[in-house]
Amino acid sequence: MTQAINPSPKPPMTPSISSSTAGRTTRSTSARMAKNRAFIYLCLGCTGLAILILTVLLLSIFIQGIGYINLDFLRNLNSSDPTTAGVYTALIGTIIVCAICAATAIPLGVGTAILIEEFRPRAKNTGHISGKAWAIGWGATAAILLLTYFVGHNAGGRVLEFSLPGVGAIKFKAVVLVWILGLVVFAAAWFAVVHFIAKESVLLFVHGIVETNIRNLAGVPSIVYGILGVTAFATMFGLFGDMGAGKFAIGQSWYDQYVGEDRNSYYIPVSGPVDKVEKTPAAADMTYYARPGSSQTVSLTFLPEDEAKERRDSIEGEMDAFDDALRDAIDATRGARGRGPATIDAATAEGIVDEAMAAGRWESDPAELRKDLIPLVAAIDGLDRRDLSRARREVINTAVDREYRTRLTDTLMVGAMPVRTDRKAWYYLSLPLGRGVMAGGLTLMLVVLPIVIVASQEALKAVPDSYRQGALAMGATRWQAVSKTALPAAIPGICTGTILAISRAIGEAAPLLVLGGVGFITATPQHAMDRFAAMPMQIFQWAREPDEGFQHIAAAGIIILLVVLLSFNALAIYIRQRASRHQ
Amino acid sequence: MSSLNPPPVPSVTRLGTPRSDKLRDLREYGILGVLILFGLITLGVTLGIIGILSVETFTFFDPAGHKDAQQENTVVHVTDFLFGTQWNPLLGAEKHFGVMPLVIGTFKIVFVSMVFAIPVGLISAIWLSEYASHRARSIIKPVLEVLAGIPTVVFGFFAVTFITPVLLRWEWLQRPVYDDAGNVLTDPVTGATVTEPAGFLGWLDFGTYNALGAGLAVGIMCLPIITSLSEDALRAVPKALREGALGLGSSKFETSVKVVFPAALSGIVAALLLAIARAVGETMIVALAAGGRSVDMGSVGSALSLTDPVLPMTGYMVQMFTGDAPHGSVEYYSSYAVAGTLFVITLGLTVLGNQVQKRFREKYS
Repeated sequence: MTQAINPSPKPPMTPSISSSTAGRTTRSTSARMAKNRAFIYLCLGCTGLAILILTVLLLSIFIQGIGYINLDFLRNLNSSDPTTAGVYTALIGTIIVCAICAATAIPLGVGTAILIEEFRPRAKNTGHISGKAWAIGWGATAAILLLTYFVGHNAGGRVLEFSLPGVGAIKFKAVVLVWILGLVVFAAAWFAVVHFIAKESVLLFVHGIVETNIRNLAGVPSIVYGILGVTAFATMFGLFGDMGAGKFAIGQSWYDQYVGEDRNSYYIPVSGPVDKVEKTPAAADMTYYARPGSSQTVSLTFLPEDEAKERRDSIEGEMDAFDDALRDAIDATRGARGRGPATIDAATAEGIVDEAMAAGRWESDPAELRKDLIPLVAAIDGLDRRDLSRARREVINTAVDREYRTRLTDTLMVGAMPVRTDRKAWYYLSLPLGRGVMAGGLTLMLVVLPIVIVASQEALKAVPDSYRQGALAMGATRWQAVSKTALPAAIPGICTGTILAISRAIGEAAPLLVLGGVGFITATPQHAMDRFAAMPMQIFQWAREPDEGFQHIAAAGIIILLVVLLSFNALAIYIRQRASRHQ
Repeated sequence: MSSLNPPPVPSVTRLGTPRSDKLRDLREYGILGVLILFGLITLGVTLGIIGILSVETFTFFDPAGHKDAQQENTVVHVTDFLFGTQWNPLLGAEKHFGVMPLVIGTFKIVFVSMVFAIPVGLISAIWLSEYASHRARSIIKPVLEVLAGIPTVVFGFFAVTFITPVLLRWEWLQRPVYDDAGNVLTDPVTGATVTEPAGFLGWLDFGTYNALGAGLAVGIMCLPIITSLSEDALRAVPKALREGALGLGSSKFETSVKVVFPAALSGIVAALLLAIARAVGETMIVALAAGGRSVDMGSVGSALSLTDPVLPMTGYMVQMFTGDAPHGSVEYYSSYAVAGTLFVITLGLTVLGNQVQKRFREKYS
């Protein structure tokens, strides 16, 4: 055979002695060498293509977006106008969501990795669980499920209620309590099985399933996690009632909102959304009305209808003199014998206001009113006909409004109807979680959990077994061996994997789209149940807009997102290299 | 009954603060219990996904399941769903729920992406593992990591603003314009032939949204997955195999392609299956760049066309979840049925990939 005769074709070319005489192969050495060289070029071409694509991608986005990045873009809230829209809303949303994601995914992921790697059962007899353990385990499961079903069936509809000081009434259906109790008993029963009967074999069984499951979870599309997030977190399987009107809430205060005769809103604190007070207050006199958040209490009265009308009429009647004086003063400045456009400069505006105000009777602060009216009068400059009378109307309305607010304080409109409204504190918590940041963070936790677990597993695997054996030989328990030797040694690897997982969460849009939809959100979240925008969602939303301006700010948003991600990646690489230098 | 902990040792050698053995054991069980609970939560994730998707999918097929089902023609049968060739969920009385166009749309995207990513990715992997110097590797590997870390919505944006315009209009390549009768149009004043910029290669008419552009973007996204996983598989092949082949007189090319590559084949197949699963489940790229019209199965040409817009399964799900399909309507439940189909396909690919990889691991280590 040709190959056998040629000792080493790779370094210098050997003369092709056997090329023509080959029995089995018909290829010449020079042809083989040419192929060898051609393949190297092909390789370089393909690798070069990958680098070229990355360069083109980064460059095209950079060129489109760099001109739109400035401090305002970072500081502004989202807006429907691409020239003023900023990335602040989405940036804050991303930070909060990813913080929730990290705070839940890291303990869960590292814990699961420790379970898989460090508490691997030592029994040789894999996968075998004794018949007794099976029977007891499943018997207990069936009994508990049946019990839960019957108790829940009979008592499930009953609404339990109790109140906590400072929190208010807490209500939930009895079935929730039954399920929680059932779960606790269930866990206790399985613990008993594990402890007394089949410790190692049950562990083995759990291990096998958990390990296979994690590898397969890593391939599930992120949009499917979004569906799970909606059902498990946003609606919580419907266990706690509908979204937004859940059975359980902390940090929410309820008010009846009334509109006053002076066009202000007044709030009466009430106990909750369920126990409605009478819509129309029976008493004509009510005290202790307060605005939410302020300790100020005011005393309010309901005006009888005729009196209210009388008071409104008297204010408007007094304003007639002001109205006439204002018209005369403005007409004096109009050209073409009082019929053309008004000519008003700063000095004449002040004169007109002073002249008109002298005709009226004022209970509100005249100096304040004067300050407000001057710019309005100055704006009349150059106006004619209908524009002029509309602008003058505005001046009069401003003055009337001011008088209303001064003279009619503490009076509610006749037959005022309250609107039930609520105010949420920063620690507001409700079940179900709804489509807010908390549900978003937990959904992203589902997405990155397999990544964190696999990375932590790899890091723990890389720790030499002698560490643990040394600790165990010194009399440490398994947990002591793990927590004092293996885990500290694996920390750099876990950090690297976790940072990469979190950067995946930062860039993930599909599950959040399923959870929150494409809403137009301009405000940053105020509490954990508040709606939010995240960077990738925001970029998606902008990129879908037909307006060219949005394409540019989408590119600018991508640049900011990539800067964040690249710095995360750089941090991960730095930690990895530092750790490898230490070892 | 085997014991979880080694037998208690005399307290002289015990680590940490002195505690009773009972307390120590109790803590040990407590921690183990918490860890098992964590493990069960990850299990609950899978069970939750399967449970929710199957319940909602059953509701979709259940004649009494949703409020639209009372109307006669919105009852969907399983066979109509799986083998139907029309997907028109929003057309009032003419609703059709055949998932085939969505599946074909998904696989058109996957086909384009893999035609691009498999050759480029595998050849890069061979180069990285067999040819590249340490220095070159230290440059290329971070580049691949950066590429792998880019969010998919960025690739979608790239597809819309760069790939598709490149496909759509080649200004320097003009072609004549024809009238309805098929004659070449001429300018009435100058008598010159009227031309317009030709599409890609001068003869394909690309829509603003098309399967090729979206597919290429998905391919770019899959490239680093294929390269790095295949490279791992190639590097795991024992050195002895390479040395043997070289010793027998093979060229470097022959060693890489005929010896190392087949030896790593199971690992590479696993990598490809995982990459295909990623491409099938890719959402943001297709939501931005693939368009919103499901594949027309009227003719073979339109069914396989890469220049027309496609609506893959994930694209439909985004449409439904970001749109305003009323809760409880048949369209609402149809997105769960599609999600179930997607989940079955990707889970199948992942399980297959993991099985192949498991066998490969047993072989060499």
